[in-house]
Amino acid sequence: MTPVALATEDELREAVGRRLLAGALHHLHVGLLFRKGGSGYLRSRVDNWCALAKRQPLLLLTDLDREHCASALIQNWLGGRDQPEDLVLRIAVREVEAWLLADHEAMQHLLGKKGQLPIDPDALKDPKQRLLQLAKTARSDRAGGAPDQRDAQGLRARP
Amino acid sequence: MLLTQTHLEQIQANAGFRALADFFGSTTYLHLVPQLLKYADKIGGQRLEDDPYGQGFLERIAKTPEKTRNARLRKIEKFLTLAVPQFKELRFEADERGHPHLKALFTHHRPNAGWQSEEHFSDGTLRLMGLLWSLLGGDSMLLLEEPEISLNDEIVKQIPLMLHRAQHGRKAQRQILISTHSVSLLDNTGIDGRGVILLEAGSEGSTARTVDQEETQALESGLSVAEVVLPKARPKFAHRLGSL
Repeated sequence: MTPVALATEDELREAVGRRLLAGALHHLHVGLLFRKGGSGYLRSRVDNWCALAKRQPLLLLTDLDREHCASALIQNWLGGRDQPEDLVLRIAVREVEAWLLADHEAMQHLLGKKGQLPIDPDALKDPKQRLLQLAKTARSDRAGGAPDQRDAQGLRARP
Repeated sequence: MLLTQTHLEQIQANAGFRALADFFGSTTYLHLVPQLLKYADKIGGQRLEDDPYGQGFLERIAKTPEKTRNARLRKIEKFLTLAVPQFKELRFEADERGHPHLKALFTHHRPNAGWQSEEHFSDGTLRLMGLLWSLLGGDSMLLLEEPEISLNDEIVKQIPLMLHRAQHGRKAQRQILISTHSVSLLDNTGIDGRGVILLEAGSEGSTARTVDQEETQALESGLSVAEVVLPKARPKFAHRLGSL
């Protein structure tokens, strides 16, 4: 089993990263976890990620946000450094929330059927906002699969 | 003839172990609880052996020879001037009943209005004083229980450097054991990963382990103990606490 280190912006991205690794190859398992809130931290540690990736594989997952191109963002972050073979940089367009919204089946299970799920979530300018809007309208007719009684903003749902 | 030992209890029998017993016996454990010091009169005098909670902190200062005491207090004063807002001067004096007190002068718009004694110090200031005092004296093993408590994050970040400086240039280097959860304290990339012991809770009780190969590689890549090791101490379901 090869451990893969995972560097992400927050808990949500970490959970998605874990899921990606779990679904990838059988001989991989999630090793060290790095997150400290925000992409600023990830970017400030590029030197360290490069150094570490020479010793063990590392998946870095971040959002494109308002940058225009994922490839340009990677080049920008690397700033002329050579990218080690085992440093895997993956950029969500525009945010990881778009990937979640693309999973209509799971989203309907979580939020109920009332919300309109976007057909092309990659095209959304602010997927997180859309996800929050959907969560707000999800109170009354949820399918009941959510782990707790809160909406996506962490507020307790009113009966 | 004066008998000093029995057949069963031979003084020489434990000579080989005495160094070990002395080492553990001289260990200092410090977890100063500011309230026990501030409200000592009201709480009463019950104290544990070796005074781990710092109730006798002032008496300990009083018992120190004057020259050593003054030298240490000057160092603490210098440090507090930087660490505590408005702090200006530190004095150690006895009241009319002979009880020792620490007094600090804080800059104030009225002259002489700013002298306060220890019951008015903040918890952080008192804990910092206790920490500095124990670092400056003694050569036995020192156990520090969560030195970050009540302190401003910017000060906590400086603790590794303070410990290093306190040891620097001393003949007898003191072994220090610290228990902590603090990101700020462990974020210093100068901390040697070989000195880290991680306690992991399990169904059979807690296990202690040193850093493994993956973690060592990450530390050698310039990442800090806070980034590499501390996430392993996170309670697995902490994120659900907010939804209870």
